[in-house]
Amino acid sequence: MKQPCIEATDLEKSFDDELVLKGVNLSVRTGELLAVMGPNGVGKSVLFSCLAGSEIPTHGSITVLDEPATDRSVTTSFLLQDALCLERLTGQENIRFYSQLHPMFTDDWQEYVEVLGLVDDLDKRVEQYSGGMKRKLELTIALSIDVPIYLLDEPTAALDLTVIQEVHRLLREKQDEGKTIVISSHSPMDADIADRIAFVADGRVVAMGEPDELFDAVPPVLETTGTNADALTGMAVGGQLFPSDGGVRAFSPPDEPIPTADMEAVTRLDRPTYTDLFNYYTIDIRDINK
Amino acid sequence: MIASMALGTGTFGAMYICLYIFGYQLAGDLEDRRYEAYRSMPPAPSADLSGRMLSGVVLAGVTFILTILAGVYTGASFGLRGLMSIPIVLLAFVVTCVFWMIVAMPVILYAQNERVAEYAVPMIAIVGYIGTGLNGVNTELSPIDGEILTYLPNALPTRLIIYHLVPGGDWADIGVAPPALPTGPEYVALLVVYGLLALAVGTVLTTRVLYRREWWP
Repeated sequence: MKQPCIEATDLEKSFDDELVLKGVNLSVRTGELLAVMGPNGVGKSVLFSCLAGSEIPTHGSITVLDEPATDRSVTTSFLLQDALCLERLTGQENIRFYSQLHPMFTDDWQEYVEVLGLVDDLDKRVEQYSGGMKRKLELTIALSIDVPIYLLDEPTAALDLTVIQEVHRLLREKQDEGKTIVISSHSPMDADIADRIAFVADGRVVAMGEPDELFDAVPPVLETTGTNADALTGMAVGGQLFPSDGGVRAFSPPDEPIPTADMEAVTRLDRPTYTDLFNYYTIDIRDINK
Repeated sequence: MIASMALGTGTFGAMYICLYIFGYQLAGDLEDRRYEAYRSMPPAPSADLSGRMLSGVVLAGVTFILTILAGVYTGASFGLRGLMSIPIVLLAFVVTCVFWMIVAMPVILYAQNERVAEYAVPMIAIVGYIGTGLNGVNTELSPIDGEILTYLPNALPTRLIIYHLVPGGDWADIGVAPPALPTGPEYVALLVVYGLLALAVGTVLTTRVLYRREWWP
Protein backbone atom coordinates (compact mmCIF):
# COMPACT_ATOMS: atom_id res chain seq x y z
CA MET A 1 0.00 0.00 0.00
CA LYS A 2 1.26 3.45 -0.89
CA GLN A 3 2.26 5.87 1.85
CA PRO A 4 -0.28 8.53 2.82
CA CYS A 5 0.65 12.03 1.70
CA ILE A 6 -2.18 13.73 3.60
CA GLU A 7 -3.34 12.67 7.06
CA ALA A 8 -6.21 14.41 8.81
CA THR A 9 -6.89 13.22 12.34
CA ASP A 10 -9.89 14.11 14.54
CA LEU A 11 -10.34 17.25 12.49
CA GLU A 12 -12.84 19.76 13.82
CA LYS A 13 -13.59 23.18 12.43
CA SER A 14 -16.13 25.63 13.72
CA PHE A 15 -17.17 29.09 12.57
CA ASP A 16 -18.53 31.24 15.37
CA ASP A 17 -20.41 28.62 17.37
CA GLU A 18 -21.29 26.33 14.47
CA LEU A 19 -19.31 23.12 14.26
CA VAL A 20 -18.89 22.31 10.56
CA LEU A 21 -16.34 19.50 10.70
CA LYS A 22 -17.00 17.10 13.57
CA GLY A 23 -14.01 14.82 13.83
CA VAL A 24 -12.90 14.05 10.30
CA ASN A 25 -10.34 11.31 9.83
CA LEU A 26 -8.96 11.11 6.32
CA SER A 27 -5.90 9.53 4.81
CA VAL A 28 -4.92 10.30 1.22
CA ARG A 29 -2.48 7.90 -0.43
CA THR A 30 0.34 9.16 -2.61
CA GLY A 31 -0.54 9.00 -6.29
CA GLU A 32 -4.22 8.19 -5.89
CA LEU A 33 -7.28 10.03 -7.13
CA LEU A 34 -9.63 10.39 -4.19
CA ALA A 35 -13.17 11.65 -4.70
CA VAL A 36 -14.76 13.30 -1.66
CA MET A 37 -18.52 13.11 -2.09
CA GLY A 38 -21.41 14.37 -0.05
CA PRO A 39 -24.51 16.55 -0.15
CA ASN A 40 -24.32 20.35 -0.17
CA GLY A 41 -23.43 21.98 3.10
CA VAL A 42 -21.79 19.02 4.83
CA GLY A 43 -18.40 20.73 5.01
CA LYS A 44 -16.54 19.46 1.94
CA SER A 45 -15.25 22.91 0.98
CA VAL A 46 -14.21 23.63 4.55
CA LEU A 47 -12.41 20.29 4.65
CA PHE A 48 -10.55 21.18 1.44
CA SER A 49 -9.62 24.59 2.84
CA CYS A 50 -8.19 22.90 5.92
CA LEU A 51 -6.24 20.38 3.82
CA ALA A 52 -4.85 23.25 1.72
CA GLY A 53 -3.68 25.08 4.84
CA SER A 54 -6.07 27.89 4.16
CA GLU A 55 -8.18 27.34 7.28
CA ILE A 56 -6.71 26.43 10.65
CA PRO A 57 -8.60 23.54 12.30
CA THR A 58 -10.30 24.25 15.61
CA HIS A 59 -9.15 20.83 16.81
CA GLY A 60 -7.17 17.91 15.41
CA SER A 61 -4.22 17.82 13.07
CA ILE A 62 -3.42 17.70 9.36
CA THR A 63 -0.09 16.73 7.91
CA VAL A 64 0.74 17.17 4.24
CA LEU A 65 3.88 15.30 3.20
CA ASP A 66 4.77 15.00 6.89
CA GLU A 67 4.51 18.75 7.53
CA PRO A 68 1.63 20.57 9.22
CA ALA A 69 -0.80 21.73 6.52
CA THR A 70 -0.37 25.39 7.40
CA ASP A 71 3.45 25.20 7.25
CA ARG A 72 4.03 24.26 3.65
CA SER A 73 3.16 26.21 0.59
CA VAL A 74 4.62 24.62 -2.53
CA THR A 75 3.19 21.13 -2.18
CA THR A 76 -0.45 21.72 -3.07
CA SER A 77 -2.48 23.49 -5.70
CA PHE A 78 -5.90 24.43 -4.40
CA LEU A 79 -8.88 25.02 -6.68
CA LEU A 80 -11.47 26.85 -4.64
CA GLN A 81 -14.93 27.36 -6.09
CA ASP A 82 -15.40 30.85 -7.59
CA ALA A 83 -12.57 32.37 -5.59
CA LEU A 84 -9.47 32.32 -7.79
CA CYS A 85 -10.29 34.67 -10.63
CA LEU A 86 -10.12 38.44 -10.45
CA GLU A 87 -13.28 39.60 -12.19
CA ARG A 88 -11.94 42.91 -13.50
CA LEU A 89 -9.00 41.26 -15.25
CA THR A 90 -9.14 39.32 -18.49
CA GLY A 91 -8.57 35.58 -18.53
CA GLN A 92 -5.06 36.15 -19.87
CA GLU A 93 -4.29 38.71 -17.15
CA ASN A 94 -5.52 36.30 -14.49
CA ILE A 95 -3.17 33.63 -15.80
CA ARG A 96 -0.28 36.11 -15.82
CA PHE A 97 -1.15 37.21 -12.27
CA TYR A 98 -0.98 33.67 -10.91
CA SER A 99 2.09 32.83 -12.99
CA GLN A 100 3.87 35.65 -11.17
CA LEU A 101 2.35 34.76 -7.80
CA HIS A 102 3.23 31.07 -7.70
CA PRO A 103 6.84 29.98 -8.34
CA MET A 104 5.72 26.51 -9.52
CA PHE A 105 3.44 27.89 -12.25
CA THR A 106 4.26 26.34 -15.64
CA ASP A 107 3.53 27.03 -19.30
CA ASP A 108 1.11 24.08 -19.32
CA TRP A 109 -1.72 26.63 -19.21
CA GLN A 110 -1.35 26.97 -22.99
CA GLU A 111 -2.33 23.31 -23.43
CA TYR A 112 -5.16 23.53 -20.90
CA VAL A 113 -6.85 26.59 -22.44
CA GLU A 114 -6.72 24.80 -25.77
CA VAL A 115 -8.16 21.55 -24.42
CA LEU A 116 -10.84 23.29 -22.37
CA GLY A 117 -11.85 25.56 -25.26
CA LEU A 118 -10.96 28.84 -23.61
CA VAL A 119 -8.49 30.26 -26.14
CA ASP A 120 -10.95 32.63 -27.83
CA ASP A 121 -12.14 34.06 -24.52
CA LEU A 122 -8.81 34.86 -22.91
CA ASP A 123 -8.97 38.54 -23.88
CA LYS A 124 -12.41 39.02 -22.32
CA ARG A 125 -12.82 40.26 -18.78
CA VAL A 126 -13.73 37.47 -16.37
CA GLU A 127 -16.82 39.41 -15.27
CA GLN A 128 -18.20 38.58 -18.74
CA TYR A 129 -17.55 34.85 -18.30
CA SER A 130 -20.26 32.27 -17.64
CA GLY A 131 -19.94 29.97 -14.63
CA GLY A 132 -18.49 27.23 -16.82
CA MET A 133 -15.89 29.54 -18.37
CA LYS A 134 -14.79 30.71 -14.93
CA ARG A 135 -14.43 27.09 -13.85
CA LYS A 136 -12.31 26.35 -16.95
CA LEU A 137 -10.04 29.30 -16.16
CA GLU A 138 -9.74 28.26 -12.51
CA LEU A 139 -8.92 24.72 -13.59
CA THR A 140 -6.32 26.03 -16.03
CA ILE A 141 -4.67 28.03 -13.24
CA ALA A 142 -4.82 25.25 -10.65
CA LEU A 143 -3.54 22.52 -12.97
CA SER A 144 -0.74 24.71 -14.37
CA ILE A 145 0.93 24.75 -10.95
CA ASP A 146 3.40 21.90 -10.81
CA VAL A 147 3.04 20.43 -7.31
CA PRO A 148 2.71 16.89 -5.92
CA ILE A 149 -0.87 17.33 -4.65
CA TYR A 150 -3.95 18.86 -6.27
CA LEU A 151 -6.95 19.75 -4.11
CA LEU A 152 -9.80 20.50 -6.47
CA ASP A 153 -13.11 21.58 -4.97
CA GLU A 154 -15.84 20.63 -7.46
CA PRO A 155 -13.64 20.89 -10.56
CA THR A 156 -16.38 19.76 -12.95
CA ALA A 157 -19.27 21.84 -11.57
CA ALA A 158 -20.99 23.87 -14.32
CA LEU A 159 -19.07 22.10 -17.10
CA ASP A 160 -20.72 20.30 -20.00
CA LEU A 161 -20.25 16.58 -20.49
CA THR A 162 -17.62 16.86 -23.23
CA VAL A 163 -15.50 19.20 -21.14
CA ILE A 164 -15.91 16.96 -18.09
CA GLN A 165 -14.40 14.12 -20.10
CA GLU A 166 -11.47 16.34 -21.07
CA VAL A 167 -11.00 17.32 -17.42
CA HIS A 168 -10.98 13.64 -16.47
CA ARG A 169 -8.35 13.00 -19.12
CA LEU A 170 -6.20 15.82 -17.74
CA LEU A 171 -6.58 14.48 -14.20
CA ARG A 172 -5.55 11.00 -15.34
CA GLU A 173 -2.51 12.53 -17.06
CA LYS A 174 -1.58 14.23 -13.81
CA GLN A 175 -2.02 10.96 -11.98
CA ASP A 176 0.20 9.18 -14.51
CA GLU A 177 2.87 11.75 -13.66
CA GLY A 178 2.68 10.57 -10.05
CA LYS A 179 0.55 13.43 -8.74
CA THR A 180 -2.01 12.94 -5.99
CA ILE A 181 -5.46 14.33 -6.73
CA VAL A 182 -8.29 14.97 -4.31
CA ILE A 183 -11.55 16.20 -5.80
CA SER A 184 -14.90 16.97 -4.28
CA SER A 185 -17.99 16.28 -6.32
CA HIS A 186 -21.65 15.36 -6.46
CA SER A 187 -21.33 13.78 -9.87
CA PRO A 188 -21.30 10.01 -10.51
CA MET A 189 -19.07 10.77 -13.51
CA ASP A 190 -16.36 12.03 -11.18
CA ALA A 191 -16.77 9.03 -8.89
CA ASP A 192 -16.14 6.83 -11.91
CA ILE A 193 -12.52 7.98 -12.27
CA ALA A 194 -11.70 7.76 -8.57
CA ASP A 195 -9.40 5.13 -7.09
CA ARG A 196 -11.16 5.61 -3.78
CA ILE A 197 -14.21 7.49 -2.62
CA ALA A 198 -14.77 9.19 0.74
CA PHE A 199 -18.34 10.04 1.64
CA VAL A 200 -18.87 13.05 3.89
CA ALA A 201 -22.08 13.55 5.83
CA ASP A 202 -22.86 15.71 8.82
CA GLY A 203 -19.27 16.96 9.09
CA ARG A 204 -17.68 13.51 9.17
CA VAL A 205 -16.20 11.00 6.75
CA VAL A 206 -18.84 8.27 7.07
CA ALA A 207 -17.39 5.79 4.57
CA MET A 208 -14.21 5.47 2.58
CA GLY A 209 -12.80 2.86 0.27
CA GLU A 210 -12.39 1.61 -3.25
CA PRO A 211 -15.59 1.78 -5.31
CA ASP A 212 -15.98 -2.03 -5.44
CA GLU A 213 -15.70 -2.34 -1.65
CA LEU A 214 -18.23 0.41 -1.17
CA PHE A 215 -20.63 -1.12 -3.71
CA ASP A 216 -20.32 -4.53 -2.06
CA ALA A 217 -21.49 -3.10 1.24
CA VAL A 218 -24.63 -1.58 -0.23
CA PRO A 219 -27.77 -3.67 0.40
CA PRO A 220 -29.87 -4.81 -2.56
CA VAL A 221 -31.67 -1.99 -4.31
CA LEU A 222 -35.38 -2.14 -5.06
CA GLU A 223 -37.19 0.00 -7.58
CA THR A 224 -40.80 0.67 -8.38
CA THR A 225 -43.02 3.27 -10.00
CA GLY A 226 -44.02 6.42 -8.18
CA THR A 227 -47.62 5.23 -7.88
CA ASN A 228 -46.46 2.07 -6.12
CA ALA A 229 -44.24 3.89 -3.64
CA ASP A 230 -46.34 2.87 -0.64
CA ALA A 231 -45.68 -0.81 -1.29
CA LEU A 232 -41.94 -0.13 -1.32
CA THR A 233 -41.96 1.92 1.87
CA GLY A 234 -42.93 -1.10 3.94
CA MET A 235 -39.99 -3.18 2.83
CA ALA A 236 -37.37 -0.40 2.58
CA VAL A 237 -34.55 -0.11 5.06
CA GLY A 238 -35.55 2.66 7.47
CA GLY A 239 -38.68 3.22 5.38
CA GLN A 240 -36.53 5.56 3.32
CA LEU A 241 -37.29 6.02 -0.40
CA PHE A 242 -35.18 7.87 -2.95
CA PRO A 243 -36.43 9.40 -6.18
CA SER A 244 -35.08 7.87 -9.38
CA ASP A 245 -35.83 8.35 -13.07
CA GLY A 246 -39.60 7.90 -13.28
CA GLY A 247 -39.92 6.07 -9.98
CA VAL A 248 -38.60 5.51 -6.52
CA ARG A 249 -35.87 3.33 -5.07
CA ALA A 250 -35.07 1.92 -1.67
CA PHE A 251 -32.57 -0.37 0.00
CA SER A 252 -33.75 -3.82 0.94
CA PRO A 253 -32.73 -5.49 4.21
CA PRO A 254 -29.94 -7.78 2.99
CA ASP A 255 -30.94 -10.87 4.94
CA GLU A 256 -34.69 -10.62 4.77
CA PRO A 257 -36.57 -12.22 1.86
CA ILE A 258 -39.20 -9.99 0.31
CA PRO A 259 -42.74 -11.35 0.26
CA THR A 260 -43.60 -12.57 -3.22
CA ALA A 261 -46.82 -10.58 -3.28
CA ASP A 262 -44.95 -7.40 -2.63
CA MET A 263 -42.43 -8.21 -5.32
CA GLU A 264 -44.93 -8.05 -8.16
CA ALA A 265 -44.54 -4.36 -8.80
CA VAL A 266 -41.03 -4.10 -7.43
CA THR A 267 -37.83 -4.74 -9.32
CA ARG A 268 -34.75 -5.95 -7.54
CA LEU A 269 -31.68 -4.47 -9.24
CA ASP A 270 -28.51 -6.47 -9.80
CA ARG A 271 -26.11 -3.63 -9.16
CA PRO A 272 -26.60 -0.30 -7.42
CA THR A 273 -25.63 2.87 -9.24
CA TYR A 274 -23.31 5.62 -7.98
CA THR A 275 -26.43 7.54 -7.04
CA ASP A 276 -27.54 4.61 -4.87
CA LEU A 277 -24.08 4.54 -3.36
CA PHE A 278 -24.29 8.28 -2.67
CA ASN A 279 -27.71 7.93 -1.05
CA TYR A 280 -26.73 4.92 1.02
CA TYR A 281 -23.64 6.49 2.52
CA THR A 282 -24.75 10.10 2.94
CA ILE A 283 -28.42 10.09 3.92
CA ASP A 284 -29.20 8.96 7.44
CA ILE A 285 -26.82 6.07 7.12
CA ARG A 286 -26.94 5.18 10.78
CA ASP A 287 -30.71 4.88 10.69
CA ILE A 288 -30.64 2.84 7.50
CA ASN A 289 -28.15 0.40 8.93
CA LYS A 290 -30.25 -0.29 12.02
CA MET B 1 -0.58 80.71 -0.99
CA ILE B 2 -1.39 78.78 -4.17
CA ALA B 3 1.72 76.67 -3.64
CA SER B 4 0.80 75.68 -0.09
CA MET B 5 -2.79 75.06 -1.10
CA ALA B 6 -1.62 72.86 -3.97
CA LEU B 7 0.58 70.86 -1.61
CA GLY B 8 -2.26 70.50 0.90
CA THR B 9 -4.64 69.37 -1.84
CA GLY B 10 -1.98 67.08 -3.32
CA THR B 11 -1.46 65.40 0.05
CA PHE B 12 -5.23 65.09 0.46
CA GLY B 13 -5.42 63.48 -3.00
CA ALA B 14 -2.71 61.03 -2.01
CA MET B 15 -4.56 60.16 1.20
CA TYR B 16 -7.82 59.70 -0.70
CA ILE B 17 -6.24 57.49 -3.36
CA CYS B 18 -4.44 55.38 -0.77
CA LEU B 19 -7.58 54.81 1.28
CA TYR B 20 -9.66 54.12 -1.83
CA ILE B 21 -7.29 51.94 -3.86
CA PHE B 22 -5.93 49.96 -0.95
CA GLY B 23 -9.33 49.54 0.68
CA TYR B 24 -11.24 48.71 -2.49
CA GLN B 25 -8.78 46.09 -3.71
CA LEU B 26 -8.49 44.49 -0.30
CA ALA B 27 -12.26 44.44 0.20
CA GLY B 28 -12.72 42.83 -3.23
CA ASP B 29 -10.24 40.08 -2.40
CA LEU B 30 -11.91 39.44 0.95
CA GLU B 31 -15.44 39.53 -0.42
CA ASP B 32 -14.55 37.08 -3.20
CA ARG B 33 -12.84 34.76 -0.66
CA ARG B 34 -9.60 35.12 -2.59
CA TYR B 35 -7.55 35.05 0.61
CA GLU B 36 -8.61 31.43 1.08
CA ALA B 37 -6.64 30.72 -2.08
CA TYR B 38 -3.77 33.09 -1.26
CA ARG B 39 -3.30 31.45 2.14
CA SER B 40 -2.58 28.14 0.39
CA MET B 41 0.10 29.72 -1.80
CA PRO B 42 3.78 30.47 -1.18
CA PRO B 43 4.01 34.29 -1.22
CA ALA B 44 4.83 35.78 2.19
CA PRO B 45 2.27 38.09 3.80
CA SER B 46 4.92 40.81 3.78
CA ALA B 47 5.18 40.50 -0.03
CA ASP B 48 1.42 40.91 -0.33
CA LEU B 49 1.44 44.00 1.89
CA SER B 50 4.46 45.49 0.12
CA GLY B 51 2.89 45.00 -3.31
CA ARG B 52 -0.36 46.61 -2.29
CA MET B 53 1.50 49.52 -0.70
CA LEU B 54 3.81 50.01 -3.66
CA SER B 55 0.88 50.26 -6.07
CA GLY B 56 -0.85 52.67 -3.69
CA VAL B 57 2.26 54.88 -3.42
CA VAL B 58 2.74 54.92 -7.21
CA LEU B 59 -0.86 55.93 -7.91
CA ALA B 60 -0.85 58.44 -5.08
CA GLY B 61 2.43 59.83 -6.49
CA VAL B 62 0.81 60.36 -9.88
CA THR B 63 -2.11 62.15 -8.21
CA PHE B 64 0.24 64.34 -6.16
CA ILE B 65 2.35 65.31 -9.18
CA LEU B 66 -0.72 66.13 -11.26
CA THR B 67 -1.98 68.40 -8.46
CA ILE B 68 1.40 70.15 -8.24
CA LEU B 69 1.40 70.64 -12.02
CA ALA B 70 -2.09 72.13 -11.76
CA GLY B 71 -0.72 74.42 -9.05
CA VAL B 72 2.17 75.52 -11.30
CA TYR B 73 -0.28 76.11 -14.14
CA THR B 74 -2.35 78.41 -11.93
CA GLY B 75 0.63 80.43 -10.75
CA ALA B 76 2.22 78.54 -7.85
CA SER B 77 5.99 78.49 -7.57
CA PHE B 78 7.97 75.81 -5.78
CA GLY B 79 11.59 75.38 -4.83
CA LEU B 80 13.85 73.31 -2.63
CA ARG B 81 14.99 74.62 0.73
CA GLY B 82 18.14 72.50 0.44
CA LEU B 83 19.44 69.13 -0.66
CA MET B 84 18.06 67.48 2.48
CA SER B 85 14.64 68.64 1.40
CA ILE B 86 14.50 65.89 -1.23
CA PRO B 87 14.67 62.88 1.13
CA ILE B 88 12.48 64.63 3.70
CA VAL B 89 9.76 65.39 1.14
CA LEU B 90 9.94 61.84 -0.21
CA LEU B 91 9.79 60.43 3.31
CA ALA B 92 6.85 62.64 4.24
CA PHE B 93 4.98 61.59 1.12
CA VAL B 94 5.63 57.85 1.53
CA VAL B 95 4.73 57.93 5.24
CA THR B 96 1.49 59.72 4.37
CA CYS B 97 0.62 57.00 1.87
CA VAL B 98 1.62 54.10 4.13
CA PHE B 99 -0.16 55.53 7.16
CA TRP B 100 -3.47 56.08 5.40
CA MET B 101 -3.41 52.74 3.65
CA ILE B 102 -3.04 51.09 7.03
CA VAL B 103 -5.90 53.21 8.41
CA ALA B 104 -8.12 51.56 5.78
CA MET B 105 -7.17 48.06 6.86
CA PRO B 106 -9.08 47.55 10.13
CA VAL B 107 -12.22 49.09 8.60
CA ILE B 108 -12.04 46.77 5.61
CA LEU B 109 -11.18 43.73 7.69
CA TYR B 110 -14.22 44.41 9.84
CA ALA B 111 -16.67 45.25 7.04
CA GLN B 112 -15.31 42.96 4.27
CA ASN B 113 -17.49 44.85 1.84
CA GLU B 114 -16.58 46.59 -1.43
CA ARG B 115 -19.28 49.24 -1.02
CA VAL B 116 -17.89 50.26 2.37
CA ALA B 117 -14.46 50.48 0.79
CA GLU B 118 -15.75 52.52 -2.12
CA TYR B 119 -17.83 55.07 -0.21
CA ALA B 120 -17.13 55.03 3.52
CA VAL B 121 -13.35 54.57 3.71
CA PRO B 122 -12.42 57.57 1.51
CA MET B 123 -14.62 59.68 3.77
CA ILE B 124 -11.88 59.28 6.38
CA ALA B 125 -9.61 61.35 4.12
CA ILE B 126 -12.26 64.02 3.60
CA VAL B 127 -13.03 64.32 7.32
CA GLY B 128 -9.31 64.38 8.10
CA TYR B 129 -8.63 67.02 5.47
CA ILE B 130 -11.41 69.36 6.52
CA GLY B 131 -11.09 68.71 10.25
CA THR B 132 -7.40 69.60 10.27
CA GLY B 133 -7.73 72.86 8.33
CA LEU B 134 -6.99 71.42 4.89
CA ASN B 135 -4.22 69.15 6.24
CA GLY B 136 -2.76 71.95 8.34
CA VAL B 137 -2.46 74.37 5.43
CA ASN B 138 -4.92 76.79 6.97
CA THR B 139 -4.88 76.21 10.70
CA GLU B 140 -7.58 78.77 11.39
CA LEU B 141 -10.14 76.55 9.65
CA SER B 142 -9.56 73.71 12.08
CA PRO B 143 -11.29 73.36 15.45
CA ILE B 144 -8.14 71.63 16.69
CA ASP B 145 -5.52 73.68 18.49
CA GLY B 146 -2.67 74.59 16.15
CA GLU B 147 0.05 73.13 18.39
CA ILE B 148 -1.68 69.77 18.40
CA LEU B 149 -2.45 70.03 14.69
CA THR B 150 1.23 70.08 13.82
CA TYR B 151 1.70 66.61 15.26
CA LEU B 152 -1.24 64.92 13.51
CA PRO B 153 -0.33 62.29 10.91
CA ASN B 154 -1.89 64.14 7.99
CA ALA B 155 -0.98 67.71 8.95
CA LEU B 156 2.61 66.93 9.97
CA PRO B 157 3.82 65.58 6.60
CA THR B 158 1.87 68.22 4.69
CA ARG B 159 3.40 71.04 6.72
CA LEU B 160 6.86 69.45 6.39
CA ILE B 161 6.43 69.25 2.62
CA ILE B 162 5.29 72.89 2.50
CA TYR B 163 8.29 73.99 4.56
CA HIS B 164 10.68 72.22 2.21
CA LEU B 165 9.01 73.00 -1.15
CA VAL B 166 7.85 76.59 -0.57
CA PRO B 167 11.06 78.15 0.75
CA GLY B 168 10.12 81.78 0.42
CA GLY B 169 6.67 81.57 1.96
CA ASP B 170 5.34 84.16 4.33
CA TRP B 171 3.70 81.59 6.57
CA ALA B 172 1.57 83.84 8.72
CA ASP B 173 0.28 85.64 5.66
CA ILE B 174 -0.89 82.50 3.96
CA GLY B 175 -2.43 80.94 7.07
CA VAL B 176 0.02 78.06 7.51
CA ALA B 177 1.32 79.60 10.72
CA PRO B 178 0.98 79.96 13.63
CA PRO B 179 2.00 77.53 14.95
CA ALA B 180 5.51 77.51 13.59
CA LEU B 181 6.21 75.10 10.77
CA PRO B 182 7.86 71.81 11.74
CA THR B 183 11.48 72.52 10.93
CA GLY B 184 13.47 70.52 13.44
CA PRO B 185 14.71 66.91 13.19
CA GLU B 186 12.32 65.87 15.94
CA TYR B 187 9.43 66.26 13.49
CA VAL B 188 11.15 64.02 10.97
CA ALA B 189 11.71 61.51 13.75
CA LEU B 190 8.02 61.65 14.64
CA LEU B 191 7.21 61.06 10.99
CA VAL B 192 9.43 57.98 10.99
CA VAL B 193 7.64 56.76 14.13
CA TYR B 194 4.29 57.16 12.38
CA GLY B 195 5.61 55.22 9.41
CA LEU B 196 7.06 52.41 11.52
CA LEU B 197 3.92 52.21 13.62
CA ALA B 198 1.78 51.92 10.50
CA LEU B 199 4.07 49.26 9.03
CA ALA B 200 3.99 47.29 12.27
CA VAL B 201 0.19 47.40 12.46
CA GLY B 202 -0.09 46.53 8.76
CA THR B 203 2.32 43.61 9.09
CA VAL B 204 0.50 42.20 12.12
CA LEU B 205 -2.93 42.53 10.49
CA THR B 206 -1.76 41.00 7.23
CA THR B 207 0.11 38.15 8.89
CA ARG B 208 -2.34 37.30 11.66
CA VAL B 209 -5.73 38.24 10.24
CA LEU B 210 -5.40 37.87 6.47
CA TYR B 211 -2.92 34.97 6.39
CA ARG B 212 -3.69 33.52 9.85
CA ARG B 213 -0.04 32.81 10.47
CA GLU B 214 2.29 33.31 13.43
CA TRP B 215 3.44 36.74 14.49
CA TRP B 216 6.40 37.03 12.15
CA PRO B 217 5.99 37.11 8.35
